[in-house]
Amino acid sequence: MSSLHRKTIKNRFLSAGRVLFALGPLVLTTVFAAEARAQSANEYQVKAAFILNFARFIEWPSDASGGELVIGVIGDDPFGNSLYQVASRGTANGRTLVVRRMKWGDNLRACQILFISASEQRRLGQIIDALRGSSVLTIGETGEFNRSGGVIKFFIQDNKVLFEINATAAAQARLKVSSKLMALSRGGR
Amino acid sequence: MQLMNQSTSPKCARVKLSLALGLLLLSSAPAFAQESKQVAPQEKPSAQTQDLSDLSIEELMKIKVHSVYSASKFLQKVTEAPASVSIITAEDIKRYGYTTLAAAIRSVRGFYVNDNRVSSELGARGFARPGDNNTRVLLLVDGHRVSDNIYNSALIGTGFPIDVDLIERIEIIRGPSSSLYGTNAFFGVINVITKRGADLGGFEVSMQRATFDTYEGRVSFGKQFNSGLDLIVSASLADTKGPAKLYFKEFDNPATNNGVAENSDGGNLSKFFASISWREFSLQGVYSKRQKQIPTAAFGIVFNDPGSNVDETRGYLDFKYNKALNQNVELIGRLYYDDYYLNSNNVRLFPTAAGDIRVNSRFISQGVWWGAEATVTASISDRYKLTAGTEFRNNLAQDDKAYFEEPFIQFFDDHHSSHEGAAYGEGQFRLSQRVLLNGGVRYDYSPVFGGTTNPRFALVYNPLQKTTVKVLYGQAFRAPNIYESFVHSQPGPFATLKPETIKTAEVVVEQYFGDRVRVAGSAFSYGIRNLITRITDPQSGNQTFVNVGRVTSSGFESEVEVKSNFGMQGLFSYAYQSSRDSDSGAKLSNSPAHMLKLNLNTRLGFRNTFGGLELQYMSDRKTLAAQTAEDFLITNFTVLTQQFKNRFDLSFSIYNLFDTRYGNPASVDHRQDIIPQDGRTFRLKLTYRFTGK
Repeated sequence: MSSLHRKTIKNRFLSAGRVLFALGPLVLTTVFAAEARAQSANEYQVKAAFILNFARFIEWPSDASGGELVIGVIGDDPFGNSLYQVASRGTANGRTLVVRRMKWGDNLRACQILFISASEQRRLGQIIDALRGSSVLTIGETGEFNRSGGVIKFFIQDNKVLFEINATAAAQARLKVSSKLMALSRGGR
Repeated sequence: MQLMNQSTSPKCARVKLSLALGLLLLSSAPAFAQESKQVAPQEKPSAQTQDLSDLSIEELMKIKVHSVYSASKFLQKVTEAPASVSIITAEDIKRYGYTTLAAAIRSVRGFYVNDNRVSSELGARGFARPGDNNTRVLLLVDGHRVSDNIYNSALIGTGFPIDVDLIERIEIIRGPSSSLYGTNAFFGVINVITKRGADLGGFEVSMQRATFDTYEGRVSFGKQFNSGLDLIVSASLADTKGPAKLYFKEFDNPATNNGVAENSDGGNLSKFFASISWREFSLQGVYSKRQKQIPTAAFGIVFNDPGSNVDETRGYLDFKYNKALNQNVELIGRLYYDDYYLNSNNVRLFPTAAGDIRVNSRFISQGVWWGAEATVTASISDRYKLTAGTEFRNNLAQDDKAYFEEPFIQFFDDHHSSHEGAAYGEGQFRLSQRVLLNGGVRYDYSPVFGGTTNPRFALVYNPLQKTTVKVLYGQAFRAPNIYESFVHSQPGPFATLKPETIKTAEVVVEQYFGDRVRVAGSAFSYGIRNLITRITDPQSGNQTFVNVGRVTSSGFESEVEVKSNFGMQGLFSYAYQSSRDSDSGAKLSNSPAHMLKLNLNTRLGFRNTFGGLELQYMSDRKTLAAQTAEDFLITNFTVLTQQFKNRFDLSFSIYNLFDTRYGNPASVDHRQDIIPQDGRTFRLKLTYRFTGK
């Protein structure tokens, strides 16, 4: 092989190398986009996973068991795709999970779990009143949530997602919270 | 044409090799299908390894989540922030072996750092005039201004007062942010958030050994007590001899040791950090000192004199009160006291009738200041969030002096004091479920430069769940620092230097694919006026500063971030920009048209062992002498084992793996045109933790 020939081959490699380098991210994204699996320390992905766990460690009264377990989200939805993904992948005590967008005026009692978004803060009292006597597990993340009668409140401490359970509200909704879940519930600040 | 060029092919060979290394890393990551099931139950939870649905509640409670604090002084999701934001976490710092804040910033899209072997200079969006003192990016630690009150310099290199191991995360907010932060938030703000005692949970001892006889040690203690009191204290010491010989061709003649500076690139540093917080109160104290030899004979000092050095000290006390007055209103009050000291100690040649004699020369800057700040944030309803604040700063001392020791000749001995005040407000309005409008304005006043008003607007639009579009416009300013205003200007009352101003328009689009892939693109355009430029006054022959200079620039950036479940994550970015001097039409010096960066991190075969590969490419840059600092590709690689026997972290890093030769454009204060940088270096680091559990 002449030295010129060698140099031409080397340069073909080199330009190929440059192209490959530029294509690198495309290769990466197609390889990983093909595999579905959640990751990333995204706050709402973690909360969605918590909600799946709540569904597994809480018992609804016999008249609200069986069939699908409906998770309603009322107000601005902060979950993106996370809640749908979690619901489609998991079951809770044999029940499949279904996520539904709700708005004020809908029949909120049709849900077993209702996530009340921060955007509904003003209406929180009305929503809790509308659910009185029902067995809906209400979940929220605003400061006054538990004091207003909500059952589980998410809060952030040291960049970690934690939760607080209002035992009285849970009892009023005839929800049986497993002792393990109660033990992990922390008093918030 | 370039076929025969020797200098190109080794570079391209490195591209090839770097890519091969990257692919090797990819292939060493175990097949995901099996990995997630094996790894799930026993492993200590890490968000990179599993589908969150498989985690237990206890594990979910340990995952760390991100939110951005700085962009609007209230907590917001990154997607809602009225700016383009990048975050570097403590985990990134460990996995990529960053030894300084500057090293971490080098990995960020659109930013670049030039080391001139004494300090590190920060460039953003193609703007980094050599010798300009890092005045156009504001550096904060937990919201406290690190930039000093004499040069307003963001100390990002070894002068950064916090040990990199104490960093919880770095928030980089691009774009003009004077509407909230005032002067220096010209191209952006970098807010460094430090760790809490709870993050350490006990004692930590760390030791490092690196090339050039570099040693570093740190002892830290942190704990959150049952009462809620959080305490963290830390001390670090480091010493380096630097390369034994450094060659500079501009000094290559027998009178100056043939261009070789021997044993002249060493340095040492010591840093102390303490932070206590309890309920609404927190108090932070920092003291940091560094000493660095000057091998480049900058500022006309004698070449190859190991006695020439720069001594820089930075200290502060910051007291903060953060109280939620009720569910909707939060109050933050801050009181601080700062000190900055710079002493440049070197030898010069002084011409006398009997010939040149060596004299010890000193240049000393001393700054002391205190300030107070109060901010109120209120959520009026779910739709409206308002922030209003006020800031006051009193510069007790802004002193500069320069003199020769023997014979004693004093060149200047300036003492100044000044004060400044500001008021700002920002509102976030949710116009609909998909549209967020953010607007802010700040008025700054100082007797030195008068008053200036700077607004910022942002429209954040979510056309689809996973798509965010941001349209941003803002104005920012950089007040002349004391050095520019007084030291070299004509005698008289306050110099008539005005602040520099910048107007920036930007569009950012961000798209998530599933939950693992994020793609972002942005396009920007900015114009700078009244650039403060150093010139030689034709009448007096003295150096002085004037407001002359306009720059226009535009560019676009793109970024792809991928996080898979089997411990692999990657971030690739490309930034293009074109910046010109408006008057001459010439391209700016030290302004790379293209920058490509890749950060790839993956779990290696063993448990809790990670490999981090970093590639950074910068295209040609013009130097002050209109020469070219050639383009280069740097490859860094780090292997990290964490939680070994639950107590040890061990990491080994190779920086500039392929020993690339490259240099950075020098400033007018150097005789050199390009300052050569280090070749391949290594670092070994061991951290030992005892939590008493």
